[in-house]
Amino acid sequence: MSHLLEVKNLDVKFDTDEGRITAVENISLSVDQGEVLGIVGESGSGKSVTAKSIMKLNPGNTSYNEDAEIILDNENVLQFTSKQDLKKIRGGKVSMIFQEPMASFAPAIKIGAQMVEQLLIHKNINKEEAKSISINMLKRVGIADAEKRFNQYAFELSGGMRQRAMIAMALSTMPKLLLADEPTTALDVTIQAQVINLIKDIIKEYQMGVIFITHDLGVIAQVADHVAVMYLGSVVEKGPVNEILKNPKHPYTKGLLQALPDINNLDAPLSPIPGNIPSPLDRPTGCVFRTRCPHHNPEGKDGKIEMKLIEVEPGHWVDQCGIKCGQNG
Amino acid sequence: MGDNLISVNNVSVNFDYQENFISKKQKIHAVNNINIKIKKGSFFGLVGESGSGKTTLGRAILGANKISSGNVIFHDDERDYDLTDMNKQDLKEYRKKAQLIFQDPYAALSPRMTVRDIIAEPLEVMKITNSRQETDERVRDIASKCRLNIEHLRRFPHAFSGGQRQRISIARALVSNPKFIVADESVAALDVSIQADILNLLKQLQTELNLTYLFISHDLSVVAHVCDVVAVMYLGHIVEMGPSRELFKNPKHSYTKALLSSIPSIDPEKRSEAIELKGEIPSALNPPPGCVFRTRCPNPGVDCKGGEITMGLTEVEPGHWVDQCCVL
Repeated sequence: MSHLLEVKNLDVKFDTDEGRITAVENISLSVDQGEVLGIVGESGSGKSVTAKSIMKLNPGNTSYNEDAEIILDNENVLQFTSKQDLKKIRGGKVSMIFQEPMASFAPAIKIGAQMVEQLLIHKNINKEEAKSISINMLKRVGIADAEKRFNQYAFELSGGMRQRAMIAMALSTMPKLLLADEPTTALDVTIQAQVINLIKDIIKEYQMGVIFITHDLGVIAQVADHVAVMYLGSVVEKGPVNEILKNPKHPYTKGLLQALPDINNLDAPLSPIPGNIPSPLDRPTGCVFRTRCPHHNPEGKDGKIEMKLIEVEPGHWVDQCGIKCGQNG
Repeated sequence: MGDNLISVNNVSVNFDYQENFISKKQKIHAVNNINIKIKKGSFFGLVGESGSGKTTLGRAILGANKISSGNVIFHDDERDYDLTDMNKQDLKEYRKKAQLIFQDPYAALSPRMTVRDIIAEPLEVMKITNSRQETDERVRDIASKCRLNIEHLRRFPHAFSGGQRQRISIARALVSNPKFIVADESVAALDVSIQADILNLLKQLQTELNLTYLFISHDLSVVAHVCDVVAVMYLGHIVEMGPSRELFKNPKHSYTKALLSSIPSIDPEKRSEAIELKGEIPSALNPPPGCVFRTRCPNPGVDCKGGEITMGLTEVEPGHWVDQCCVL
């Protein structure tokens, strides 16, 4: 069976004044229809870069490796160069929701006009139809008074409402794949709960594939079917959400879980992962996590063990260095 | 007053608001009739959603916002300071004793100053030290307490990560040897691992330097972990207040319950038990009369629907206060 999206051996590098930065190294992921893949990791771990590669939205100094493939609907996105082709993925087959909805809407154009504009680009319909699709979509995401909101500007809406409008806009073209980059991070918990439920309902209804990027493991536990844990541009562990959160193998995943304050267990101490995330300019050779790994494994420490994911249980993949370290601690 | 450091008595903060120059002047009721007492050496948590007035209250306690009515008393060893009735000299003294740590360590540090100068600035402005040598000593001392590398003092902030920057902000706040710290969302912008590190540092400094914190946060699990006493704010009012363990184990107010249930559980099998609150926080320009939470309350009583019950805290258990509307 072919997947909706398959990313194979993707490297993403940026050329900067200080040198070539490896933002993402050797990533392979897949998403099926109606499935939510969660990507977690700290800032700078390459989550957003991975997502943006799927739409080829990374800036001009980006280079991808030759043998990488991003296969969406049986087409390799990385081969796309013409505007015509790119239009198919940007907003057509793939839509993206961002963290800060205020920054995603143009401030001086009415929300309705922005929704209609993108529909006219991607669908073969007239303005009237586009307007009715947009208003229906606004209603669908739970915006009361959709006709009124359609004629308002982004600043007139509250944070939660703006995020709903953003979701409505992303969904109105009926994309096959939705990229949600920290869509609930800027929201209050009660509003976050509303938006998470909305996203889940919509996935069920439209059977789209979703990549859900967040740094919040709690949110991942609530929405994702599968999880990939990223650290410094590499996937260190991936698998079904239950497996990863209840039976983590990699010391980084374990560290993330231990650093998280759990309201049900107030006596547990908060234990941070020691050290700082290294600069991508001097990315460690071998296992990327070895500079901060609490369980030094002599071979891993020298950087002799290459990064490679190994299947420890059906569907549960862990970096080979991490399996050894994980056993020690 | 004995063991209290701060007493907040019936404090309200209003802001004037005018939509445009011809429209009528209105009042935004940001903080309404708040009474809290912060014990010496405690870690007092203030939680609530955006727009609930937690930052305004924190700033009012520091004397950075004008207090419209009520007063705030700071009980120092020798004397009490009344914030609403303070001359310039007193205010300067008070500033040395009460400091603020900000949310965003990227915005809080000047990019053109070295770390040493950033930390030393309060000492120089407040004329606490007399010689450069003395200043340097104080800076080095506080930097090592905040686990900053002494060699890093010559560098500029851009060379540091978020966690290190937050440690610099903490060092800057603590260098004048304050007794009271308001930490306004100080870990909200950090990754979980760094967040845990900073929280541990704050705890450690508290015992080392005898500090009292007012910890403002929207993250309930963080507050539950570090605070001894918690007050939950909604639309300018405290709706529930009590010892943190008691409050989180046995929440009484429907808003606290809803907030707690909204925290995404880390257990994938426990999905979506959130008590979903309808709609959003009303505008502080015209808050609903009576219980402010009734417009979103999942189970409003017959009496409170019309707004007949006024806001007011009732003690349900020793030290555990709940707004009366939800008790009845």
